[in-house]
Amino acid sequence: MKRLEVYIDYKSPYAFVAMAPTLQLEFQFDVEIDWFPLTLNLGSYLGTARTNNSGQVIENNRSPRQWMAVRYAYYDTRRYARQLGLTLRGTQKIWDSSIAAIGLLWCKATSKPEVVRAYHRIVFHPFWRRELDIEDRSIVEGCLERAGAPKSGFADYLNGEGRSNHDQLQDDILDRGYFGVPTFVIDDEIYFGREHLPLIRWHLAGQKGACPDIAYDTVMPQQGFGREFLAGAETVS
Amino acid sequence: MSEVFCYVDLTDLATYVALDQILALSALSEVTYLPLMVSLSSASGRKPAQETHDPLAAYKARRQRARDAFAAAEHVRLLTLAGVTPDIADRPRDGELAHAWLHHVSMHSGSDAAQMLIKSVMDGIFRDGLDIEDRDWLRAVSGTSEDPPSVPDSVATDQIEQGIFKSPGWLIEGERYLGREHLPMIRHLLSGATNETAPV
Repeated sequence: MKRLEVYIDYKSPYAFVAMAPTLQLEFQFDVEIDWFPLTLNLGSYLGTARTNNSGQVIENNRSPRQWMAVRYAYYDTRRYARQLGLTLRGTQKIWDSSIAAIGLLWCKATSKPEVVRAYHRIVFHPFWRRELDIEDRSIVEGCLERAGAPKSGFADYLNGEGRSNHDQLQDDILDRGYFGVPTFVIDDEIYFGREHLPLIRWHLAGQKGACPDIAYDTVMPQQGFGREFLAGAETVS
Repeated sequence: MSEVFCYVDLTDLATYVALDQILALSALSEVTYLPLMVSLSSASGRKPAQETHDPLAAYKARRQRARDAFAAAEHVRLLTLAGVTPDIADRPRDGELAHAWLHHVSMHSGSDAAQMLIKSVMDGIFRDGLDIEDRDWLRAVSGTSEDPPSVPDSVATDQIEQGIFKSPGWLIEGERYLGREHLPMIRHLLSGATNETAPV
């Protein structure tokens, strides 16, 4: 069985839209996905801004070019989210997603893959409906419990081993050359962005024929882990 | 389907990789080809500081290094896909004159002539190693003896207002798509198969 590392950040709309086609890989191929949090410092390269409920900008530290890039990012991901039946509302500030990220590490350390998949659904969907405060430890604990991971012990993990593992991981990630999400790593090959899924499928299928070009080309089938993700958080029992 | 606009940077290797697919879309719909006049090479607009004891500056410097390494690996993949050698691909190029030709041909001679110009120019520079600033060659390719006027400033202004900043880019019924990764969706839209599941 191949092992595919996937790096995500719950506050990235690109990661959210990539989840279903990525999860589908585990259903289609003999591959095990190992999930890692890559907690982006978005403000450091895209500036910072805050909007109110009417969408008005009430704080702004972005250049016109940064605004152009950010606006296009939401524009682009929102239309593909619509095609997938996902609700993706632009965030009103840049979130610190590290608690949710440490929740992912806790899930992996304590639970089976299906719990990790459920945690993704329980965090991603309501966060992108603006219904989940991922900076609140008790909220993330609730997500863990609902996904089937133990809640007890998370607070200590968050303030100790989990935080230090997360912070060390972020340093290591940059040194390995991963800088954005989703990043996919297979057999030491690094692919950044869901547009690389055709190359990853080609890789998983044994690299037969010519290497394909990048493309947003996944036609979601009616069954599989990807379809399960699209069903949303509400369907987690 | 209303008119479709396609924005092309004739000096862009990533566009050349997908050129045949890009031009084939005109079989599905009337396409107006225009030169891309806007670039967003770096969203931050500045290079990050060198690594220092400032954690933010250090983060930015390390992230930039990771980005640069990935970009270099992607460039190698592009060269392979395009079958272009680095000595040809990596030449510095100024596409101003060729873009003026593309705009002129597109406005006055139509879509078929624009496609032929795009194909000839991009094959010329990336396959045959020709100089995109060679006036005589560009005149021969476009079939005229005079240079075109410069691209009007309004073309760049319109592209900035529409948020078009990457080649290949498309504007389809007011929706913009930037980058060749959107080709499956654009084919899906232009083929009229909108009742089928869209590629994502």
